[in-house]
Amino acid sequence: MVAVTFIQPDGTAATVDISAGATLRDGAVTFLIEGIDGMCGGSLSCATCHCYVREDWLTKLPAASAEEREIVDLAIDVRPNSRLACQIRLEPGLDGLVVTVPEEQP
Amino acid sequence: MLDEIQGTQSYDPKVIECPWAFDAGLRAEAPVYFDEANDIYVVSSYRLVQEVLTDPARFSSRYMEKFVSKEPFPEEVMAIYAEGYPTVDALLVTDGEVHDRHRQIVFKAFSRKRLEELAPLFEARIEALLKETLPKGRMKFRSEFAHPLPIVMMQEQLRIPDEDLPRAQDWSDIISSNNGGIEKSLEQHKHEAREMIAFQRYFEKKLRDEMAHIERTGSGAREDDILALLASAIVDPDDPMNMVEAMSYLFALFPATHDTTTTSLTACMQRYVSSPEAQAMIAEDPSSIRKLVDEAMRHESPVRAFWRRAAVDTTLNGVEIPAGAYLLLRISSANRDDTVFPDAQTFDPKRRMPQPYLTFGTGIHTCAGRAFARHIIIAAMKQLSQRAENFRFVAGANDFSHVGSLVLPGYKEIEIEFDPKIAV
Repeated sequence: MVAVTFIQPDGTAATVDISAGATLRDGAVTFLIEGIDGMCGGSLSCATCHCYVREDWLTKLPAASAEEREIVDLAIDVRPNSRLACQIRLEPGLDGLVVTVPEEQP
Repeated sequence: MLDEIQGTQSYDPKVIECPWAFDAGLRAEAPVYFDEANDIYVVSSYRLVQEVLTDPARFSSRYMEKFVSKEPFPEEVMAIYAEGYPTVDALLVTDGEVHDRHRQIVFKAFSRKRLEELAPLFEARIEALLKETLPKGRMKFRSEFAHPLPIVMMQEQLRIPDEDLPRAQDWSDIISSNNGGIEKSLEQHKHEAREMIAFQRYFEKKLRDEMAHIERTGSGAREDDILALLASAIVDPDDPMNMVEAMSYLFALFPATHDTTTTSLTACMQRYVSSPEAQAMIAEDPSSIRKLVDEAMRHESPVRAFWRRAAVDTTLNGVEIPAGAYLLLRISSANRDDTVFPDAQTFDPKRRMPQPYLTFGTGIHTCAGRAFARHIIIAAMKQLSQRAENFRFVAGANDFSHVGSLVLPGYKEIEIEFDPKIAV
């Protein structure tokens, strides 16, 4: 299990245990984390699973693919630490991951 | 219950008008139901609709024939259409490599950057339409507002000058009405066929002008609108796009951007007006319009169904489906599946969505215009709720009937009254 903390725009945080192998998007939906929609089911066709990865965790993630980088541009208020949750597969090395949920999804 | 489900019910006008009981019966008894009379497999649970939409290798989108009227057009009419370009698969009815190419174009044309640039124009168009209608204290919402508003998106994408807008609006309506398979006289068919040829000629000229610009200068007059992207694709020797495909692309794009937005905006307004709770919620917190819009999209399901076609022999929920079979995915049903949405039959403007509603689809064909549509709908609702209050239905004027096809049966009209606020 991989512990992930989701921080809402108002600062409230929820820490949940997601199975290794699942994507961050699937974990967010399973645990009813508000603000992560993932409308396209993880097929890089929407950008509604946009999240901000805390800087110290960003370098621990595999780099975003060219396709993810194109699609993340569809999100609102894209920042250097923006990632699509459907492209982050959880594994033990990511235990303790912290992400912030954006104000709004497109 | 299963005994009562007649084969024709998906096409039954009463079910098209009000699908909810039929949907509930299907979900309970046979979430994959073989409608023998119509030779279609009807899928009704959230999980199974999601399964189909997220497996394009197993379930193809080559189903364009389902949008064409069951009766072929009379010969005289076909002769007129033969003067123009043939129709080929484009956008939502494509698979694989063609789909990838077509999708790239809409993603570029409907980018966040473009939306932010166009947002002030959308606000201005909303304001202009409301200036005409709001002072009367009463409105035929669909015809006076929801119908004329969305064409602004195609106007921008295809650089249609204001003086050509009424004709573009008519063309858009003709294309949408052909998808619905509405009964028409021979004269009307012929008129519409001639207008569709005119549509092709008009946009072909625009495309050729843009192509000439690209060939002369190395780039288009713009880079990121549909006109530029289609023209570049045609000019590019490595890109299979040609004028035939570009014409079909535009045919697919018009109803996808216009009709759907009109129907969705009307549905959102209908729910808003019918819910004092929603009106109060929004008066207190305008940012909650987003929640209202999403819940209206779920509860009304303006897009009620999608088609798919089995690409291979397969099984779904234990039901064997042969390759080539058509599947009707009942989005109206998936969105009210109470194993996913608690108390699904209730319209709750404060609802937290446990999973995404499926009105915009899911998987690789998820609506590429979703962000634009949602933005325009939210912007329109915002201006309406700021400029007027105490919204109600005009007594005796509304039957809340729907008109249109199995896929997009929208409210024919909603007549509303309100108290305009002092101009801000």
